[in-house]
Amino acid sequence: MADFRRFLDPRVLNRLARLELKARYLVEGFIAGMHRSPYRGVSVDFAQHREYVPGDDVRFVDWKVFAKSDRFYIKEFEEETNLTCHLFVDASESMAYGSTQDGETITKWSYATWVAAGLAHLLLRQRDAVGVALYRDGVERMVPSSNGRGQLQTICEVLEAVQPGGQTAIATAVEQMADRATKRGIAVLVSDFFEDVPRILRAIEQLRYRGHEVILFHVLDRDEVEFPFERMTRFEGLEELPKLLVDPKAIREAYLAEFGQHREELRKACATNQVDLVHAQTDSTLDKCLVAYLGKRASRLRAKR
Amino acid sequence: MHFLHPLLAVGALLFLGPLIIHLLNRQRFQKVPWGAMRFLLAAHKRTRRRVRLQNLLLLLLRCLAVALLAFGLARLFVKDVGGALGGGVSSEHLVLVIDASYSMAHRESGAERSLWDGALEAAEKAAAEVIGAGGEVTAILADEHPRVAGRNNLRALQRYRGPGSGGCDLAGALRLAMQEVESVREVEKRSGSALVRRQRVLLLSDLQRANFAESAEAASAAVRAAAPTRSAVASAVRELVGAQVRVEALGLGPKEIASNVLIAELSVDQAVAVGDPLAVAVRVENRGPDPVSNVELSLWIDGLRQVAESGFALAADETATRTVWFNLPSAGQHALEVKLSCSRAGDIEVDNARGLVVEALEAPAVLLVNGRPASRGADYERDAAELLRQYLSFELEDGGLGRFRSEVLSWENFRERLRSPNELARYRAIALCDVPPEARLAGIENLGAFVARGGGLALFLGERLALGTPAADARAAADYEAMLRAPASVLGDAGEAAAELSLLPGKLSGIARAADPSFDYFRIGEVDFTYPAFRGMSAPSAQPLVRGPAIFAFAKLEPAADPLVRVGARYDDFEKWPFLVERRFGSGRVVCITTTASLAWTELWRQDRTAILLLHDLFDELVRPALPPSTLRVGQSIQWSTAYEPRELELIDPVQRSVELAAERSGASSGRFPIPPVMDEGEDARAETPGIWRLVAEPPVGTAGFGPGASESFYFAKNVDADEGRLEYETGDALAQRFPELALRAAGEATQSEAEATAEATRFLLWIVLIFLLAETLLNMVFSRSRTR
Repeated sequence: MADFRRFLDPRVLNRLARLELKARYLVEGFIAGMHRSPYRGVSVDFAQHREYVPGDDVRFVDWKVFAKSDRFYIKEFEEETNLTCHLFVDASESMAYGSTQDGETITKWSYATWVAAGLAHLLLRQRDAVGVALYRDGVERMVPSSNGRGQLQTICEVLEAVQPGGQTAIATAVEQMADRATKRGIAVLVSDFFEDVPRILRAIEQLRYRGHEVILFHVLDRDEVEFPFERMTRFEGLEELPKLLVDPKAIREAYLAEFGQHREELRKACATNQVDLVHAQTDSTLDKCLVAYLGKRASRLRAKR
Repeated sequence: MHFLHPLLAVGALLFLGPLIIHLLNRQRFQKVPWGAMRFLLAAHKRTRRRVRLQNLLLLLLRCLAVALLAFGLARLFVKDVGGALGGGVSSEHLVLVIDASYSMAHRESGAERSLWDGALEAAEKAAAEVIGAGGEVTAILADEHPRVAGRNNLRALQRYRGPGSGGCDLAGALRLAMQEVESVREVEKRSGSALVRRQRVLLLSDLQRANFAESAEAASAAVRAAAPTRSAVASAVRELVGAQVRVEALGLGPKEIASNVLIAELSVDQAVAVGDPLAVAVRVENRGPDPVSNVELSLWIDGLRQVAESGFALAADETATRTVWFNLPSAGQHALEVKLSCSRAGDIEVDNARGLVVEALEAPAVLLVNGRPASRGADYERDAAELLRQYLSFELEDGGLGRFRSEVLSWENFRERLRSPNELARYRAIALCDVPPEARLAGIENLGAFVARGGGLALFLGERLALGTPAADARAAADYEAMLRAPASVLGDAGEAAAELSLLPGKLSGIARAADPSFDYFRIGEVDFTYPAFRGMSAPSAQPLVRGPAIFAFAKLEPAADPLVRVGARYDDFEKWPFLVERRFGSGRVVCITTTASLAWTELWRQDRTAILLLHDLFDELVRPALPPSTLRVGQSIQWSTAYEPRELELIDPVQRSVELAAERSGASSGRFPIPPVMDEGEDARAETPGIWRLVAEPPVGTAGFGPGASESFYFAKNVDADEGRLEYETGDALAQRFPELALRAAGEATQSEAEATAEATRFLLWIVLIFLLAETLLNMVFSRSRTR
């Protein structure tokens, strides 16, 4: 059996051609890496018994059946299918940045599409409905939420068809989506959030106001976090920002301070609004995004009961 | 501020380096499309001013550090530190002592400029620095006659196209420097200046070893004889240092022995007669570290090439003596020159030629005055004049003896001839043989003038003075002495206050006789074999020739206490009466033999070998004019004595240029006229030219012995100091040991004070660089912390 866990590594995923394939491998790797079944829990209905095999959680052994038959049976539950997830993926020009490490260039956009596709595949596998909206200063492309067959393929095609460009205006995009994503669910925003925090906050509030649970996947490149440049560099601003020729060493401290302040403001805004903020760096594995989503999904289901 | 290596100071322009690097870096950058531009712009806006200031500061620091490092490497040094500090010390008084000895004419192999050119350049540079700082400069030329060449104006030095051809009286030059130092101090003292002027003596020299010869072992005899004051160099230096004067020496010469092939010495035998072969001994030295081949010698007589010797080789540091034989073409003085040809780069040329004046004698005429002519025929036993004539006409087969044309004249006839002033001029020597004493001799002044002009007078005393009793002998002696009294003015002796001088070189006091000639006799005891008459018998085997013969009687002559009197030999009697006494008068001399030339008083003349050698050598000396040495070193002064004050005195140099000299009498009646010593400027510079010189004197009209329009010539040769051709140089260590007070440095090096200042400045600069680097680091740290905040 193939070791799917290696597909959690973005550098490995980067070598795969199709996004759909990437999503599948990603999820398979994610599941194989978990010690417990992702489908456990009390929020699902009983489906059937099956014979115990080593490795199963002993908590799910049906002791009554054991008392009667002297054999171990595991209770299996049928999952709910009424959960909807809205994926908002930032397709602005700033997402096109990607540093090269070990010969691999992984842009924030690539990383964001993998996260989106992976989540979609995971959701559809659980029979949740999932939809995708690609936005810049407005919604660029969108796939309405569905759990139908071929939904993953549609989502992947849309994600692959779009290239990052233009400016970001997340609040506008969320406003445009508000009328279309009426069913309450989980709203997942995948972006670098290079916007003013109040505007991001306004978008979050809108989603919250419509009853969505919100998760922010803050996708960043390591260069943006650490600013490791040494040589004289001319930074050419994306999203129509000006160029700037500076000595990176001289400005590094100030940049990191500005950047850290922005992240701190975003963190505080999320905490205030009970929004999960997941930092995803393009050189880190993708499983924590999926874990964060599953946690949010579980809590959502608990709240429903 | 000055730099020891000025070219390295140009490296200070590298301070532009950091600036250029900065500007280049602005052109060389990477391009990065950047998403998080809003944060970068905000950071840039916040830090722009501070970063610019920081960058500017760092840039300045780096530029300054580079410039200071360059200055440090260029060895910045500070001159006139005292003046700069202004601590009561005014500007400097610099005394430049420039070695003008002829070794400074040396050019190193392949070099276009001589050491002299280098010395002048260094002098002008040093002078310009001092004068530019408001100081004073005195330039002293140090040759054999040190003199001040200029004060605060070194243009006078430009007249010297080369150094002199003589040596260097370094001690004299330093003493002159001391005088200059003292005179400047005196002027300041009189002006009441409160400022103390720093004084420095800078010697610019090739440091030739001969110039610094201190000890007897170090200096050759020739050097000591030529420049006895050289041993005083150390004391002159000490005197200057003791007077708070800094003495520095700048070595301009090469450190190794330079090559030079030269004629060290030229010598001939005594003058010979026309047609006699003359041997010229030429001492050639190779004073270089390498052997030489094809050394050629050519001999020139009166400017015409005569004989040549070619193709001999000399090993390194070898001395060879070559003898060249030739015949003098005519009577009189001749200019003899020997030239050496050995073309080799770097050799100095002046010492490749040496000159000498040689004189060819005609058979000289000798007048023999017979005081006791034989009554009939020749009586050699008693007739001294005849005996002398026989011996003087004797000629050896090998021509080794001089030839004389002797004429015998009776005393009476001689007295007649003596009355006419020009009658004696045709004789070179006169011998008065046993002439009788008389109270007065008419025309004695003519005899005195004959001697003073260079004639030789021989007085053979004898039986005419022996009258039988001591009283009569004494009277005869007094008469004899009185008879020979001549006016002192005629004899040209400035030392005598008396109006008259006796030609007799002493005082007669009677006759000494052997008690019994059969058993008792005298002999000649003490002999001065350096005296020309005895030189031929100086060999130990030949000495019995003069000491052996018996002498039965002689006249007791007490030599005059006069430096011009010389005793050639003495008898072996108790009182050691002289046998031969000489006294010079003007250019001539009188020789007195105290025993008769006849056989009655002595057996000396019975010995043929003794008589021939003694008489020929004696008359050779008598017929030769008493000339001053005809070979001089360049720069050496010469004295030429005449019995008259010349109407005109003309000096003709080796290239036949004429200079009229304004000679003055050096004494009231001395008749000596010094040729001006070495001059170095203008016309007198010719006096330094090596070669044959001629001095022509025209006597006043009516001068005895000279017809109308007659003149008298005297030749002499000026040659360079052979020791100057030895191009050996003092090394710094050796000189420092012998002259610890002397601050020695090579050309281009800083002086000791400058070196100390340089070291100080270098340390200072290094500290500055270190502090700046530290400051830059701290600045970086401070900026980093402020950025973090």
